[in-house]
Amino acid sequence: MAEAPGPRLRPESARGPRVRLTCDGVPVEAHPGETVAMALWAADRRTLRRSTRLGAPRGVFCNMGICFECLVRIDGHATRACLAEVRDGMRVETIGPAPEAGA
Amino acid sequence: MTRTHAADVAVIGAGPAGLAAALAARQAGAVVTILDEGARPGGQIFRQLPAAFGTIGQPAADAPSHALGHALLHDVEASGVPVLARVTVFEARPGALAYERDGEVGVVRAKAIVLATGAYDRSVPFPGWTLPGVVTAGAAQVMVRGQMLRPGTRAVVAGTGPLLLPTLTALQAAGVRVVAALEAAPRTALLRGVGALLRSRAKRREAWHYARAFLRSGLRLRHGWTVFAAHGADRVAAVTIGRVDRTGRPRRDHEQRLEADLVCVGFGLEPSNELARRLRCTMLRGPDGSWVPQVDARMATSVAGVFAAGEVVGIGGVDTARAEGHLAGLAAAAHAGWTVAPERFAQAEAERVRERAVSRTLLAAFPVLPGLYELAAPDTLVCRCEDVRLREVREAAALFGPELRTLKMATRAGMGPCQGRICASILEGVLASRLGVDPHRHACPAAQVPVKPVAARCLLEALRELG
Repeated sequence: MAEAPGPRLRPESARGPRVRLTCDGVPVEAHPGETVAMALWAADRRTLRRSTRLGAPRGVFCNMGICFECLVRIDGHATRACLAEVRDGMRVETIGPAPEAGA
Repeated sequence: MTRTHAADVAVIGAGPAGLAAALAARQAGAVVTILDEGARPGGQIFRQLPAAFGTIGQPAADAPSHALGHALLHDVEASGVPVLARVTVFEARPGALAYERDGEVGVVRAKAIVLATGAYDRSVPFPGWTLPGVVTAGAAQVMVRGQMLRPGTRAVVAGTGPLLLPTLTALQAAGVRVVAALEAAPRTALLRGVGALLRSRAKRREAWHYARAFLRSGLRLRHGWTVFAAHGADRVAAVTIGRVDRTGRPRRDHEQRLEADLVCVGFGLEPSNELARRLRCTMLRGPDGSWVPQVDARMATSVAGVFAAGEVVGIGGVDTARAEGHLAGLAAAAHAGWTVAPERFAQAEAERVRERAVSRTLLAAFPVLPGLYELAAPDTLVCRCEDVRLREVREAAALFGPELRTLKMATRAGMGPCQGRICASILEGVLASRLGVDPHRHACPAAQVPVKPVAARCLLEALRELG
């Protein structure tokens, strides 16, 4: 497969209209059918959570609902980001001590 | 208001085993409902792209088993069996189960339950394995095959077993540069695995498909190598790789450091057995040490009305899952009062025995290498949810003894939201390799309700409904 620009393998035009969500207030563009975890991954955001005791960065690990490492708050509810699909206007908040800038 | 459904047969899991079970039960006349945590049926192996992505340009070339997947998905759709997607089943009792979906609770009452809950990657801890950018082999496959993403630019893939090949070919197809492909087992394991595959025509085709893709890729699989450590501040930037001996024990004589922004790890699979444990099915150790529900010749567990099929009764691959699902579906329908002709049972039982024999040989070729649990350093986390370090487990074991329940109370290892799914096998592994604790002294961990975390409000509502 030819090298495509950006992390999305299918041209963005073939993915359906863009939706906009926010993660900790930062706008993120995504496409219908993408999971929250993968939309954030494509936006180059790897840290989705800070661990409970050490405050260490954590992100997608199993990507199939087993490990709960990608637990975020979506519109107020604790949800696994790998199982939730994006919706326009979705508000995603990370859990744990606030991530440092650039994480 | 709780949603309630009634069915003769409730099937949990919409992978090959669950789909085949639902079809067989439906064809026997039963009213069937399928429940699945994914957005679309198919499970991990027959993963379907989101409908919103359209149909142009499939990611990697389809493996032969995917034809089976398309057929099963088509037949289930044509059969009219409802698939409750995006539901998390968090409580099960003989005759009833409760699920959560978007904060709402549903209850399914069914005369028979088929557990077709599948499996997930077995993890082995190493320094840096909790860094973002270190993911399971299955996670990488979801990114490429399920979401059409290129998950990184330079990847290291490490682990053991036949599933490394589809992971490698998926990453290659996505344009990821695989800088190291590391199989911890020695080359003889591969040869034994090939021997097992040659005994099954379907597996032969599947193996040939991946072998050809792998050979064409120009990648070299390094046998007897694995990942020693992942490095980076808040995401992986480099890895150390090295050689391991035949038991998986790291040898510190050939370490190499490579730049990488993606690390994919998978040390075989472990069964998703929490519902079987919650239902108090009699559990046995499988050949790989995993806890699996004991099943009879027709896939019935020790609990009346509860059947199990596919990876949850022992890692075996797609053909075994389908054969067992079919048999479990027939048996569940019969339990619900539908007539199944003895010759249908005989045929399904024979096929199941044949497929399971091939899987057992393949599983035996890639055992869990006990020495790999020496990769963890004293500061390495063995429980990700509760941030418990190896050193703390050792100290607690020295004080209180090596019982898993005691260690859980003393260190909180296994008390987080994964509920031991990731760390239970790790704790057994490090206790065995570091302290010489025989894994067979541990009993099967009990599963409490909810078997996956849900809001307290949902739990209370379900318990009220189920009584």
